[in-house]
Amino acid sequence: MKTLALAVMLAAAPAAPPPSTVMKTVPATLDPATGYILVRMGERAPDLWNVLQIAPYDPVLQDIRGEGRAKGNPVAKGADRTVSIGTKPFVAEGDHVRTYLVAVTPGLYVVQGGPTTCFCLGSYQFEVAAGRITDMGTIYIGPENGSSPWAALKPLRSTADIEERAYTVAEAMQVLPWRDSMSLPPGVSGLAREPARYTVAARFGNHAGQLLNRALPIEAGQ
Amino acid sequence: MPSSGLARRACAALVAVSTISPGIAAAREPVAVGQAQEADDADKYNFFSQPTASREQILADFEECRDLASSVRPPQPGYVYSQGIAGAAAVGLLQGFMKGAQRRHMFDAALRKCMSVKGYARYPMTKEQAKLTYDGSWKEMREKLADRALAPTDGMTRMEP
Repeated sequence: MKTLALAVMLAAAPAAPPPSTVMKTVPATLDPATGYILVRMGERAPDLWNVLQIAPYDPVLQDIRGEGRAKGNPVAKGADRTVSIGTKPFVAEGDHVRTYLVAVTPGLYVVQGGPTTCFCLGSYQFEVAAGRITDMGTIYIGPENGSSPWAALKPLRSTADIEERAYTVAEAMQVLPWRDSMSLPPGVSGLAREPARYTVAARFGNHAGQLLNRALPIEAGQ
Repeated sequence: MPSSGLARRACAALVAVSTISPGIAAAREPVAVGQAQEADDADKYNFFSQPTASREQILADFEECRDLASSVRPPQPGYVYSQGIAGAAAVGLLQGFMKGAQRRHMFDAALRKCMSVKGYARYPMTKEQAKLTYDGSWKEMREKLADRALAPTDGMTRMEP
């Protein structure tokens, strides 16, 4: 009888996506125990899309949870570690920007890195609450060699000898917090959503072995 | 080309080919490379300077930047974020020499970025000065680098980061 009751309860509960699921569509409802991240990412180059990594962050030990200085503070078993967002699937696309919706374990995360670069020298942390969408705004990532199509990144260059070599040009990253002019995928406006409240994450370890940089500052009013 | 004591102990025949501070990388993890390169390129011998910083801060900055930069690894085959023809070529030649040299170049780029972000300027030094500076154990080297960082740079031409 108890087994039957449990089966009925499980069948009635909303189907919670497994942790760190990059979603193909916007769900009609949100699972109250799951955090959701909405992020728009600009094209890196024509038809080349970026990948963004976020990871659980320990702001006291200043490292990724379970790694380096924060090795003694791992996430719970089954919880998300590094979450990769990018390429496909995405929930919307337009104006050289793709919008991604990702289900993650709720908690404090840091914007860790792009395809080639760890923003270990300074990035942003933000809280992902359960049962709602945390809107990360728009993120642009591109190499510091003048090739980025985005205004904030295009003027950034590296020293000539670095630009001449392969895989030595670090990426720059601009984080633009949510504002009304940003696009919203259909179906999102009816769901609980709040902008990511970014604060500085001073440092963390280079656990993915990437090049190094610091995220561009978030200017007042952005 | 300067090399560290640890690198010499590991293999006397090794020649470092880093462009800026090979001893820093070699003191942590010597990498075998088969030939010397660009031996007389003055741009490859340089040091970091921030005379207004405290010695304690400089030592900590070198420690952190070396640690972060030493973790840098070449991309794996299948990597799509190539930077031009050189990048595409490197993907296909990630074994042996190419991998070692590539890693060293990436270390240099990462170290320079780290020190630059932390407010250090870069200045050239002679080959002889570099040999004396980038030599010995990491602890010894770090003290010499701190001496350099604190020394006045009057009249010297600052390099691009």
